[in-house]
Amino acid sequence: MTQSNRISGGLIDRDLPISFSFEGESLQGFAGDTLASALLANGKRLMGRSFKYHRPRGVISSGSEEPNALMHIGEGAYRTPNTRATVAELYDGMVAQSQNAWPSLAFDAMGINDLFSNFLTAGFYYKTFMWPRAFWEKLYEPIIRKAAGLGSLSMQDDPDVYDKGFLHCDLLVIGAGPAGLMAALTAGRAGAQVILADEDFVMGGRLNSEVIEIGGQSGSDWAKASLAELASLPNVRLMARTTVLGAFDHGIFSAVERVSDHLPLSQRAGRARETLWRIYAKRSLLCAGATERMIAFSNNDRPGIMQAGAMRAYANRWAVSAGQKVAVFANNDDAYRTARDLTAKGVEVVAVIDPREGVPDSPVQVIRGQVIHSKGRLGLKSVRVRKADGGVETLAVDALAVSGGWNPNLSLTSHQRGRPDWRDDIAAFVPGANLPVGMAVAGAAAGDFSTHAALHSGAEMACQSLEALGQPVTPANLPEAEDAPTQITPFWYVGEGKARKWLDFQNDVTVKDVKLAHQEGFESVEHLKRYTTLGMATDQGKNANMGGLAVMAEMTGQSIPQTGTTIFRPPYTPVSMGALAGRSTGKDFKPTRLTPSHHWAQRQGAVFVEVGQWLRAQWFPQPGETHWRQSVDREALAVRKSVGVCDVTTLGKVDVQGKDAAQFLNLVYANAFAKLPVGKTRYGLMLREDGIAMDDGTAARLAEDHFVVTTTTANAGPVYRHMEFVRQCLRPDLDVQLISTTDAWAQYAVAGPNSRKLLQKIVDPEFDISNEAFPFMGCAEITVCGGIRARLFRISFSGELAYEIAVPTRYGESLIEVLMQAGAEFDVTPYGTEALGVLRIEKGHAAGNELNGQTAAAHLGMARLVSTKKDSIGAVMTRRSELAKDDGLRLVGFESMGAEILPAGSHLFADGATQEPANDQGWLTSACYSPHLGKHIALGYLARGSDRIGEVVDAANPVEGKTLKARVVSAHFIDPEGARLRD
Amino acid sequence: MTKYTLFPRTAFGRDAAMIDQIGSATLSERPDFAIASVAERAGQGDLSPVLTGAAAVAVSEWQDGLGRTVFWSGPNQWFVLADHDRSEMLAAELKTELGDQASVTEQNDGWVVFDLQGADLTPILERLCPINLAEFGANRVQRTVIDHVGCFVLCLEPGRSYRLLCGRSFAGSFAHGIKTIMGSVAV
Repeated sequence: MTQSNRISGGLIDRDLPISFSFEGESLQGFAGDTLASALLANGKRLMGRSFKYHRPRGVISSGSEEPNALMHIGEGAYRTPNTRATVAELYDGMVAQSQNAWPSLAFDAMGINDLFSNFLTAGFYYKTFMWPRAFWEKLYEPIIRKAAGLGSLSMQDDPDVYDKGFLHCDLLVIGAGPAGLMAALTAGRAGAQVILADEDFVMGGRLNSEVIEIGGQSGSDWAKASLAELASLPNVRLMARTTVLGAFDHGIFSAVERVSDHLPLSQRAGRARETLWRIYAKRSLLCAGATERMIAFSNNDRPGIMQAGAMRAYANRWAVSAGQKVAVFANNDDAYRTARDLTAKGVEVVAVIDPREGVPDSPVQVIRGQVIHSKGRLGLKSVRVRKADGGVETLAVDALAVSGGWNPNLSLTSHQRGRPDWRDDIAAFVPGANLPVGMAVAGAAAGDFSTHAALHSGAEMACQSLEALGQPVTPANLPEAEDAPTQITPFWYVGEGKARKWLDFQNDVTVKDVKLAHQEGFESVEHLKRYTTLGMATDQGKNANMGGLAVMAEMTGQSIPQTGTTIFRPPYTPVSMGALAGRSTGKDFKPTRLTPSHHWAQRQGAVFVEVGQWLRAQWFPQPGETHWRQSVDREALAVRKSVGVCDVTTLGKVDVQGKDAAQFLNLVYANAFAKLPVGKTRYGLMLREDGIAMDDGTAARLAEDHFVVTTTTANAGPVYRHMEFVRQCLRPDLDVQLISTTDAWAQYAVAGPNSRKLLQKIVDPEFDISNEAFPFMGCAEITVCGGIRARLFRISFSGELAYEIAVPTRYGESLIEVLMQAGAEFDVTPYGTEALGVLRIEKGHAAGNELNGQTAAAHLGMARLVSTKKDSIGAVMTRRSELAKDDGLRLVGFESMGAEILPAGSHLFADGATQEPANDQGWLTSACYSPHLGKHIALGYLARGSDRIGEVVDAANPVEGKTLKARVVSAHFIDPEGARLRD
Repeated sequence: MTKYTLFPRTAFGRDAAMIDQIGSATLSERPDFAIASVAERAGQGDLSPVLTGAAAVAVSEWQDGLGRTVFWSGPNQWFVLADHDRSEMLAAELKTELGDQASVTEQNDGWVVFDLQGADLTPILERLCPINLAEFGANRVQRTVIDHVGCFVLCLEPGRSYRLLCGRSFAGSFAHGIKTIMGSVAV
């Protein structure tokens, strides 16, 4: 074992050694280690390279705020970049690699950037890459993008899976330190539904990192006992490894739980890597603790320089000394604990350097002064100290603990624009009064830094939260704990020294950069952030923001609260994209709806197309057909010649019932419905309130008080929603009830001159469907195949004699099989959506391409359909001058003058006109090859189109640089009189 | 009489109901229910006692009665489940009973019924839908969304038995989403 910096004690399990590798070197740690603690135990101080200058960096923290120790963890597709070593729980076989360094972490060629730092100051992009302008996109940006970034993706699909979930509670306690534990105990004992979430894998917060007593026990033992009690309460849910990411409206929080990331790969199989929880909390209590801040001085970024609190956490919790000889540099009393604890563990603490007047007593040498410089490129070797008396002393140390004070972790309090308040006594921002609804704050997050204060405020705030829910609580007696006051004198950076003084370690922002921003007029904190990138690293400014603000405040002569803060936004820490996606990836991105004939169509070898959520058969290739057009042409011709069958179940079906059902339809449809006889179907055009066409379909009257409305497939949901809006909000006085029955009935179009003959073979003989008994636009409830109830509609989308027949969906697959058997003598042909499209274009029927949200009834040539004898939604607005003008767009047909397809989307110009927007006269909406006519045809909107039949126009396709000639014709390419429909 | 016969198939295109056990949980398709939706017509008052033959069905609850399960599906609206073999024409039966008091719509094949049963279903359901399970006791029903699919969830026995209904065309995706989480939780 080579863990040279491993010391005694700690909360690690020495009986469970763990093997891992870093930079290809095999190392050992123990269960309970983080990657960072294990690396430090092995004497590895150099853990990463900075973003811009590729400066050698070591770990500065022991928590989620870590900006430096970012690693690639895992191999192959499992490799995850930018993983913070401080929160990566060590597991057997972990493979960690540094990132942003080449060829090695110790020798990084891009470290050359550091030599040119004078040229690479804040804003250098904006000043340097301005000319020549054309170089930006082709040269500068690609180079900068290649150079930028930290970790790199594996470029393989993420092999992990992620879950999502939903939780509810009376009180969500965020953070399980002393305040959070006391709050959870208080609320849990009172019987409230409590969730206690903590991002660490061991709950207890600083209790596991400090040498303190609570009620006669060590802090960590008290935490353990409290957690055991909480675990025994059925109303309390303990969620370790769970980071609350954001506070959203109505007491909703997002949290990500690391489920299996900490396990060896062999133990992860089948488990979600992470679960993203949505937590509905009646009340929330933020007990997120505080983050220690650094003090900027020349070369304060050497590996070995870290937060004082982190250094004693490594010693107390993980039994790791950050170095062999240590010094402390701090402006507050709290950091003296680091000297005390390390000394107690036998680590040599050379001195505490304190810039304040009246430094406290300490068993360690205290030097009044400031650290003005450090040495040791790949790891700290010494620090130079300017003493208060003016003298200079060099201390040979390999670790320096720094504390500039503590910042309450108030991110979640400002996710809904809450602004923090400044407190002089602790020299920090604390949560302001404008918290998210239902949230309270306790412990260090509220600026209550002593253990007693944390326990007290945790209990107090839990009581208040429950009382607000009408659940009075008697607060328990608090255990005894230290209650040391905060002693701090603000000190942000050391003035002396010419080398760079780092504020944002990851993004390489220095005190000088902030001063430059001020000099160039970027004084607002928001400008400061964007000009320098201060706070834009993965730690989102948790470490750097306060230092930057303090420097800016000094430059502007304002106070820190006057200077203000930027706004914290979710997420609190970085989140895997996979966790946001959950299971909605690949083909599971959205649900797929299957038609009743789906499995049958699969067996026929159908090619499918997505239509909204539906999968529909697009065409049915036959042996020998090598191109889709062969299949589609055959199917379309078969319908015109004999009979075809198409699954049209996907069309929306809305059951409309009630005494006022007809009156209701008269309102939602532009054309008249009140007098539609029972047993008849009518085409209906639905307009939006603004007069634009919304959808078209049919309504069949099955009884005086019962209609079935059909909609287009794409608009089934929106039309149903619109109808419900009309029913509930516009005309609640009407006695009408609506419900969707789209899925209840399997519906097939049976189209073609032999369609009646085919249907007569399956319709039970007591139902006469002859032309006389069941004419065009008839509808009836019938039975088929010996008593199976069915609905029959004589409607046509193809222009042929046609029906739509519906049976209960469970019989749908069987029905198409029967239709194929019974239709064999007519060469019945199943057809898909492509042939359906060809047939309706040939007939001139509008569909989604024509009802595109821009067109009104007049454009469709249906102005007269909009009844003037009644009120209907959109009727008045569709007659406004711009929509109804005589020289407006009209739907007409087009024939290609050549052998080429007329591309839908082509814009129309008068023959030979200059192709510019001023001359634009419309566009082609739908196009196809018509096997019936033997030519390429299209539908489209053309200005004054109905007056221009026979004219030749240009169809411009600038995407392909082509212009084709097209002749304007009637939109009804076949049977314009509609004789076939009525045959 | 035609010489052709239609055969029913399940929502999964099979002759027999889907059933799948993963871990300690079982998801089974229940094609043996007839379903109808009932909406009260204007001014008729609460029809649910008529439907159950006894107690009224409260908001977000279900009740059994007259061999039917009646659950609240919206203001003045209910879904009724009954045995398909005995009451395939459930909608027609209800219309006869209720006459002009209600609009009744056949939903036999509009919805697919699933039963989810197991020793501890909470970890599964909390990963599927936002229902507050601590407050979701027996006789409760909630309309919700599972894996992007709108559905009803009925609690038969808290933590151990639930009945779920989704639109028939969604059945494949719906069951796949549930079974995926059953597998995730079973590990």
